[in-house]
Amino acid sequence: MRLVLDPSALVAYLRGDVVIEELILEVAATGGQILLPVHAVDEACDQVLEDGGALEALLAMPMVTLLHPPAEEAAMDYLHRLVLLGVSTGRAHALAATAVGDDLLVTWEPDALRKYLPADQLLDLGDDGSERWDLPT
Amino acid sequence: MRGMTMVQVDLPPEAVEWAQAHPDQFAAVVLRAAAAGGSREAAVADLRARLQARTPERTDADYAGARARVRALLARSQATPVRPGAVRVLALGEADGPRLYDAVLPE
Repeated sequence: MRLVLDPSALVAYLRGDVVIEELILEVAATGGQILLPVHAVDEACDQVLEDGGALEALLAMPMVTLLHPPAEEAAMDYLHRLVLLGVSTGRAHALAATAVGDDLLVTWEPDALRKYLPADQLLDLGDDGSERWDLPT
Repeated sequence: MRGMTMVQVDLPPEAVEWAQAHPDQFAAVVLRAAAAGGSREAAVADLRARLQARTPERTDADYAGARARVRALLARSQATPVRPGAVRVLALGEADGPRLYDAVLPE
């Protein structure tokens, strides 16, 4: 499994949210990878000035990869089209870096994609009561 | 060989390209892995210790509860096939609990 963290997920991590910390640790411990788009890191660092060394600790992990902006023209065009839709550069970079069907894009922002995408392009697995996650608190 | 540390580095294809294009940075990543003992377990333990050090007020129960939630989330995601052509999104900040989306992004 590969996690891709968007800016809001990174902000939650930098601010010390225990769930996102444990998510990263669990994926790292079970053979997964954590991908950090550099634009997402930039945006998160703009919002959290003091993180107690959390970003440095994350970047020191061998299973964490800092993703640079795509070099291919088509990939850059796609990223720019997302930005034109109103997506922030950091989130656009995270979306562009998330592989269809394989990766898990992690966000902290409620309704992260609803405002950008038509309803028929979103399958909300949490709308149906039977699909709603019943998690221990 | 005496005096050497074996380090296993798992690289996805795009990371191989990145490593070839940035040999110095790749070497730094490998050295960090070696410094962490060369094992995934050691690296995870190091990160956990550093994160826990910044929040000493948390209890073991806090971590255990969060870990249980995370494992349930991941199991739920892995048990649900991703919509063809879609990106799987885990939204953790929803007011009424985590939510899972499959989003077909614009072409």
